Amino acid sequence: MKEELLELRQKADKDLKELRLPEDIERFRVKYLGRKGLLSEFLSRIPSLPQEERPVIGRLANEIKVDISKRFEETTRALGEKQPRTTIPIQDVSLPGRTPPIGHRHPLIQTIGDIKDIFARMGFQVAFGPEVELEYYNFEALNIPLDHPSRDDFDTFYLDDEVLLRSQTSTVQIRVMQRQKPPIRIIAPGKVFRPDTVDARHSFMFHQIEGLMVDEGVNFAHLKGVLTLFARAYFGPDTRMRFRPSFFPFTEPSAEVEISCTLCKGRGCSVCGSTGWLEILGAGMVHPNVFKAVGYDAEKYTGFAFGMGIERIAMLKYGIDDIRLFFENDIRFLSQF
Amino acid sequence: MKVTYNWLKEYGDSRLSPTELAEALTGVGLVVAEVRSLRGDHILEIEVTSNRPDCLGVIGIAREVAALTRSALRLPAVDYRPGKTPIDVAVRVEDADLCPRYTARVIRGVKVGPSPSWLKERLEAIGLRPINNVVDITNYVLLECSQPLHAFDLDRLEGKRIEVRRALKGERLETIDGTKHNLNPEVLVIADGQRPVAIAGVMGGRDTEVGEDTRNILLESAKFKPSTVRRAARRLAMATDSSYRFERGVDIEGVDWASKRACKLIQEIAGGEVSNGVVDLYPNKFQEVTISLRMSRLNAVLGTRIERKTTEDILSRLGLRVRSRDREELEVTVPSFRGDISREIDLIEEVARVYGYDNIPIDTDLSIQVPHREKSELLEEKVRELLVGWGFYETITYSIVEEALASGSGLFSTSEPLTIRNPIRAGEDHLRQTLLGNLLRTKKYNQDHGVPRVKVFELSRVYLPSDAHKLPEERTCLGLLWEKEGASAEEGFYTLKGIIEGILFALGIKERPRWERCPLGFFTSERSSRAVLDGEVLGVLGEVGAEVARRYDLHYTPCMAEIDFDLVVKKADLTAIFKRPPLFPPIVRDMAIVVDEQLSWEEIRRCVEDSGVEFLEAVEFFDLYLGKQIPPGKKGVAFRLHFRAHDRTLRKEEADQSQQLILDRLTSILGATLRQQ
Repeated sequence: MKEELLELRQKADKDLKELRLPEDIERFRVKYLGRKGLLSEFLSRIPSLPQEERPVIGRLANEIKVDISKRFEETTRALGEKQPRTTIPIQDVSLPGRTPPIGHRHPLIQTIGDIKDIFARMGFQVAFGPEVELEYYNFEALNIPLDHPSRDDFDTFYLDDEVLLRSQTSTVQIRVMQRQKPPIRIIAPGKVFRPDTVDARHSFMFHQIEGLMVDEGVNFAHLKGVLTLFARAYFGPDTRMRFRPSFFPFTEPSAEVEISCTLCKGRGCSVCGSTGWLEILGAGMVHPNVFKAVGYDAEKYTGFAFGMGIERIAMLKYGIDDIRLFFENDIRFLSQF
Repeated sequence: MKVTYNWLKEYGDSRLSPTELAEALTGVGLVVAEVRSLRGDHILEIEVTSNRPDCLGVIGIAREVAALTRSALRLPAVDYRPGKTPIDVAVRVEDADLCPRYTARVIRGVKVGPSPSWLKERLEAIGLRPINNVVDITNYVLLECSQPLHAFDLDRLEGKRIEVRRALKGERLETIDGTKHNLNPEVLVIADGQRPVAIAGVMGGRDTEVGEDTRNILLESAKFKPSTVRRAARRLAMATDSSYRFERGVDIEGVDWASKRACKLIQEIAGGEVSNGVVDLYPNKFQEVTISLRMSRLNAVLGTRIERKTTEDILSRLGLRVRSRDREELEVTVPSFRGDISREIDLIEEVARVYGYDNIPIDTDLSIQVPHREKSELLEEKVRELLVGWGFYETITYSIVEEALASGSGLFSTSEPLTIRNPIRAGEDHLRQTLLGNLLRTKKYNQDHGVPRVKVFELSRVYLPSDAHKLPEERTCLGLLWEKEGASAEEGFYTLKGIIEGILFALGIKERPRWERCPLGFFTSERSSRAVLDGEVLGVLGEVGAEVARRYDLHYTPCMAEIDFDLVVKKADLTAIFKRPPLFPPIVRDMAIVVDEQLSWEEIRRCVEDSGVEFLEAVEFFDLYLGKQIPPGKKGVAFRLHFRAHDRTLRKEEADQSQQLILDRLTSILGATLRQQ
């Protein structure tokens, strides 16, 4: 046994010196060190040796294996330095890679994030307010008196006579102006609630983002400027924008703002109802009564406010045709964003 | 509001085509949502905003068209021929505040019957059902000038009297739609000598309505206080064309005009004699408002350089009277039909919308401002990034849920969840106090749609009732649900725990939460835990209990956690201060001990860390072993010790000595023995 082992070492030494090509290396590895190689085979025979020989032979066999392995590595490394491509080629590069599992953000959160980012670059700061609100912030302070028909546009969930689920993020305007003096530039994203029966276009819970800028000398042309910059940044540089008169109790003059259809570029399609235009937000100059409610001097300060529905924006951006998809949280839906 | 193109044309001579008209109206804020052709005419569906009740009639819209196209407005004739008989009805208005104007005319000997086809067709085009000539005429005039009218059968009015008063408690009235109403003093009614015969501004009573046998009629044209009509309509759950207009406000000066117009048409179509005279209770005459408009203000608000002449032109075209005080200031007198204009900003809006929003320049010249980012916002972003990177999907679920989903995670369980008074679906009226119910529902939804296992999270608010404030406390929570094919509950537990600790680490929270076993209803009692951070409850973690899983009909029981994110924000610290990495190498030793099975790793770790042994830098758990070689009631725990000196390379003997001290301590305090290999 011992002689066989020493002989094996000598042969291995000789073979090692002759190693040149990558295929030789592999052949050597298989022959001596592989799972079914000479050394393994030798080691597997040890248990059948007589008891007294086993430790000696075993130790020698191990020493030799370690020795050959070490010198094999040295040799291949030395060869590798001379010939850069000695490693075994990848079996099949077309086999699939192993991606660690990766999740996805909710498309509405992404949309809010994208919108926030654009306004942040224009100096708007993010602000938040409560979702369960006092009626005062949702209505009175926003120039929507009790028993006024303008309340019809804001159906609202009530907890009791005074407390409700906000039906618009404009509440945050009031909260911010109450605690801070101009100049103000804020953007306020968040959930809002309206008792609408759920269908493809309506949800009793959805998201809005509110913007407010107040300072001396802020005017309607600035409102157009800020919103135009936003639309181009978000929907693409070719986006056109259209403002048309409207009515909101908390702004005057008020505007509905439309952008050229993101799908047909204004030629007319099913998404825009063949008009070429998509309504995306409501805006206007802050109403003097709103300034009065927060104690601002409406002669000194002017400002604009705007609000848009996040779901609508996301639906346009991604071509989603049913608002309910946002709240079903189907993984097959979420994984697309 | 629907109008027909031909009808509109009767009041003016603009030459716009239906589409051009639609575009022009939309351009000034009367959005034409639809143009539809119908039997040689076109129906325009116009969205009239609540500030423009004058445009709830064809004439009002014609007036806008005339202003836009600089063409004339032609009003229809109201010259009925009064008869000789003097009017013989008595009218009393109890409270002029609730009914600032009430007019009554009497027409005797009318022939009630079907309307002529032109009238029927016009009403039908707008979507109204023709009733009879008299009723149809009142409806027609309403559509024409937006003033609601009501015709009573005079012979059914007790005592030929009209009283406008609050209803008495217990009074009842059946309206013409057949509904019986119990009235109360909040409701303003029209009564005869005895009983209510109409709900003011909302709907007439059945008993006095004009029908086939009616010969003599009393025609009412009035103005009621908008909020009174609105409240009554809401209270009685009735919304009518009439209440819609009264709520928004009718033109007090137009009340009599509408009455005359209807008399003219009744005379033409249904015949009869209009009694001589009118009852017109109008104690406080309309006062015209004059507002001054500063050109500098106009251009400052709009960011324009609109000339005074242009401004004067626009306002006069709209029917306002303009006088120039000087170059800067205009005095503008507002006619009664524009009740929405009462201050300077209203005039600015009028100028802007006719001038054209598209003609206002775009100004992007803003000062520089650097907003700061809220800590919470920054941290939320970071956590989302981490979780998405770890394979979680973000969800958004409803804040309003049914009772079963609203609470119970054990994180926040204070008092009863808040409820909504007017839910859209019965039972779906609770404001959630936990995110976990919704996450389980999300899991169930995916299970039913071919995704058997999910990793999901939500970072959102829950609503906790507050004793001290009217508004509840809104707390931001992080809810997590983790499951993986083939993973044991234990793997789930430690993975989620690791995720939570990873988040704390990433957000710079140095303190370690203390995890304690804690049976919570939501989780199986054996795999349920609560984390406490510096004395405050940070969150709960566990495997969903069998009962909960059954309730949601789940095939597998996932592991879930809920974290008080506000606490995380409070504790997080993203400031970084550089420390030089150690210059000298550590000596690392593995140690395997056998201890009582009950002993927690936490206790072992603390025993090691609190030893105060020199050079000990860190202790890391790496294995827990329960098996053949361990005696019953015991367990094997293996960990790694890092020793290091900061000023030199540590000697082997020094590490040996420290390691021995640690072992001695573990032995004496915890009764540990070194595990034999």
